[in-house]
Amino acid sequence: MRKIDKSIILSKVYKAWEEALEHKQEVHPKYNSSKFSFYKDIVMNLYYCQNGLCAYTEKAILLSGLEAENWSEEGRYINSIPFHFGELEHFDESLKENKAWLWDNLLMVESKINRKKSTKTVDTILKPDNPEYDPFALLAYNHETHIFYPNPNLDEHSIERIAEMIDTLGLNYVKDWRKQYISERIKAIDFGLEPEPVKEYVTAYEMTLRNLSFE
Amino acid sequence: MKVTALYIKEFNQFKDFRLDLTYPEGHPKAGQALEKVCLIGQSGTGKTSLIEILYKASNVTSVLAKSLNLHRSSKDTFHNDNNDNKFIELFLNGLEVSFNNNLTAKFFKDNKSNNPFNDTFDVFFQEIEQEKEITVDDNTFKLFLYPSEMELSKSKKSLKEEPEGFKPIDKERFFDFGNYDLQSSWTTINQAIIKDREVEIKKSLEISKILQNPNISQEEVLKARSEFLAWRKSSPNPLVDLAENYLDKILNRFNLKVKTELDFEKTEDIKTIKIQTQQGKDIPFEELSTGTKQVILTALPLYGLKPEKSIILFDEPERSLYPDIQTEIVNFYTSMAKDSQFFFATHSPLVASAFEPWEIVELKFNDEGHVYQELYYDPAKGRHVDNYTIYPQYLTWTGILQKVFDLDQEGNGLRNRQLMRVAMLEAQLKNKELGLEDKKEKFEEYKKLATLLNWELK
Repeated sequence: MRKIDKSIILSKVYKAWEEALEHKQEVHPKYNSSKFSFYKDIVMNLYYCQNGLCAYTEKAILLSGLEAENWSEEGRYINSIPFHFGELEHFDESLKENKAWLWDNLLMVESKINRKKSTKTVDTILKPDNPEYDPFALLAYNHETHIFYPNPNLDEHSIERIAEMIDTLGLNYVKDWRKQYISERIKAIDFGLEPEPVKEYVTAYEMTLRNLSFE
Repeated sequence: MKVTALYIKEFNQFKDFRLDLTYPEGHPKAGQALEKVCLIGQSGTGKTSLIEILYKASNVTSVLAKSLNLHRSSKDTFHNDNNDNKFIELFLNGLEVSFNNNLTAKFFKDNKSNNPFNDTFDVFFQEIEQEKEITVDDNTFKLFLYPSEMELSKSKKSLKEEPEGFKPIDKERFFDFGNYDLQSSWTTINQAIIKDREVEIKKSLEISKILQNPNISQEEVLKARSEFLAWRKSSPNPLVDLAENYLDKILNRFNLKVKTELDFEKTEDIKTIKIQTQQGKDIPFEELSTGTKQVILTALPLYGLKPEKSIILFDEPERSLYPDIQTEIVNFYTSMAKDSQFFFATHSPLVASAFEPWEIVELKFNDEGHVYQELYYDPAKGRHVDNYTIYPQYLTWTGILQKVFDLDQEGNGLRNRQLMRVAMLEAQLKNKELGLEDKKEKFEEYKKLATLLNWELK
């Protein structure tokens, strides 16, 4: 799960609206999915920040539609949302009631992962857009089983918290796809060939390279 | 006669649905009808409907085509006299089925009729390639349908009686085993056994006669004996053949076998197939398990009626069978019908593992709720064996579940949690600062957990 920079909000109108609500500490309009006027801006802005990948698993869930011509000068998405495999996810489900449209709590996540996570309690120790979050400090990767696990050099308490969150966010749910994606690139390197560019599972790939001292 | 293509214009969840049922380019049998087809797909995608459509369309086509002059396009009518309205819509909207005898049957409703729901339908037969001759089936052609809900008891009609429900046009060659008592096909095997017994007695008498001759030489005795053995070898006892070459291969797994030593003293002895334990204890048929009964009863018509160049349709052949038998059941059935085409609708990855990728028809719903066939090759590259990206026979069972049956996980969610634990232990064990005693202790934990994970750690 890579670090996501959400400091850029392209849609100026949504940004102003959301910041004003936060400033006044007002209750957000009810979460009613795609009927909300900024829904499209939020979804496509998140995809822009996440580069079309699932915020947790790094699986590609939007294959096209992030090109510059799709955005107005005010940063609003002018076309309809392209076909994608994601869902708008509230990282902390408990905020959904009163702060449904809080930018800081929203992410685009693969549908199955979203449903698997459901209303489970979260721990911000693994929150991909948390400024403190560093996957290389908190996570380790076993490149044989293609499993993420807590950095074993951390204290027991942190290890337990991270293990719980790896499970909650479904980081290992996609391990079989990840295995195929990474293995074919590692084999190419092994055989002295140029691997195909890495667009998905970038953190796992980077950790695999480090494990194998390929960098 | 075998099916090479199917097109359904509109029927329930099918819309512009097309199946190519031939071997792809690059295959030694390229262009020929598939010998076996595996229909898979989520419940409701229409596997059973396809099986029924193939049964009815093949039934009508094979009978009507025989009576026509097929060197030009022909038309005929048939009567939907089975009170089965389910298929009226199918025939009304358009169905085309192509066969390997260079024939396409186009079903349609004659517009002249005022009532679209009367019982007469038209079939338009069209030669696929004008220059090729159409070969109408000889009498070996049979059509078998083993539906998913077969009664294994004797409550159904015997093969000699008129079936209820869907009435095949020719009841001598078309068998929907949802309507028949499967055991009744024992009659044909029974007749072969009696005939074999008669010939055997005759041959034995001939030998006895030779042996009673006081002037016979040792050479002549040996000759008579070897002639008898040669006859026995060239025409095996049907019961021994059925047992040794087919049924016992499966029954032995259940510690059972077909009883082949019959004394013929009572008619009871050959009234039905006799099963005994491998130790020789007779087991009454009704006491056999559901799976055992099913294997025996489904095999009897195949062995007894000896279909050749026929179409055999099975819905859920895996019912009540343990996994090891499921892996073999396709080969078991296909070995019993020469040069025939088999269709198996299944939910079992073990059954699917017996098929080449082009023999699998995976049905899926599209966004509009219509069913389509998931292709295992890139259509832009073409239907060529080299372009297939899934090969069930190369996969592990887990691989089949994930690649063919779209199961996204290799195991229960708890497995991932334990894999995480193993990865942690491995990292700790690799740490050079870990003391020997701690290392030994952690390694014991690692081995224990790895065993529980079946050492599948790669």
